[in-house]
Amino acid sequence: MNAASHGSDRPCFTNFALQEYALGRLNGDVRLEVEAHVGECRQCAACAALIEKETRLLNAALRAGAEEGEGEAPEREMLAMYLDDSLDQETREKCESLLASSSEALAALLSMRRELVSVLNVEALPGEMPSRPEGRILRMPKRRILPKTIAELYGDESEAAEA
Amino acid sequence: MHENPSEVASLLARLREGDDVAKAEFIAAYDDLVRRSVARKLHAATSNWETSNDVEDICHDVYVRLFKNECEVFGTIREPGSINAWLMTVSQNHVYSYLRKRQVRHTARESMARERVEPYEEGPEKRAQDRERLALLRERIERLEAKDRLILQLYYVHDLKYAEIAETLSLNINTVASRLKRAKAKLRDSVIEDPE
Repeated sequence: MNAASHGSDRPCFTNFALQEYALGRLNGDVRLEVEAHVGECRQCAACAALIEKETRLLNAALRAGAEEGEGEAPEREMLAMYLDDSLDQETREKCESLLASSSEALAALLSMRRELVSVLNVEALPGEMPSRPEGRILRMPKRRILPKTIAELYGDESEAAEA
Repeated sequence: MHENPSEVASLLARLREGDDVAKAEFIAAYDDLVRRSVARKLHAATSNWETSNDVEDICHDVYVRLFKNECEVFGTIREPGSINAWLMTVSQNHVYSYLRKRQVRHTARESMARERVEPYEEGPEKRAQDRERLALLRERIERLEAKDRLILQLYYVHDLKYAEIAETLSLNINTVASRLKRAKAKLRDSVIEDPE
């Protein structure tokens, strides 16, 4: 597959952009741009399909793990200090192990974080979607290959474009 | 709709005190604004969709959010005169949140289907293979560093953005990106890739 097979003259979207798209996080304008481009560009359509597949697998595996996860009851004080970045390294690592293995602890941490955000800044309410997510690069030069595997997919995008 | 900032300030104060009459007054005064904001944003984002039920659902979510925890969110309004803009922003954010849950993907879905990447759910044999692969994937996830597992969970399950993950875990945003990439590479090499 070569660049001449592209139906669109515009630059392609990066894997990051396609990933955000697969997660349903792009706002109206950008989402429509991605959809229009993916509808015309076989390379990006193949990449988007692989990214969606990877996302679905990871989501299913992580959710299944979280449902089975057992952990200690979360200690609010430790979680608050974790959010405040005021734990020593050893306790911090212990806390991260607890959070990674206990869905209850992670839910408690996220709930505390939401409370914090809601009192600090209303603009950061859940659901906010910037038009250009986090300033990361959304466009890249034309893709040269039509990836068949996830390894080929990530081989197509340079480190520089991801960073 | 209240035009006078002092009237708005008084209404907000009553809401914070848990005054149910104030809630009814608030809805009567601002329901039209909330509905128009939601409908406009929803229509712009999903021009081909039936949206009347969606508008109802989203408006309901907006009010649940506003009246949650004794209306604490109203305490963040510093300028009562700017309540209209504030309400429009909150309403529109709920539209994005709603759409994100619905995972709207039309055109691209069709195009992606043309590429014939096998769907995850397909036939008993395929399902058995997928179950096995999922079990392997979970095993491999368990072997990752706790911080990397946390990043994966926050990104893929809890729907946090890179910046939010960075803030939650007290990391640099580029560290989040590189750790996510590295963790996925470890999983991809052995489990995610199709054995061919």
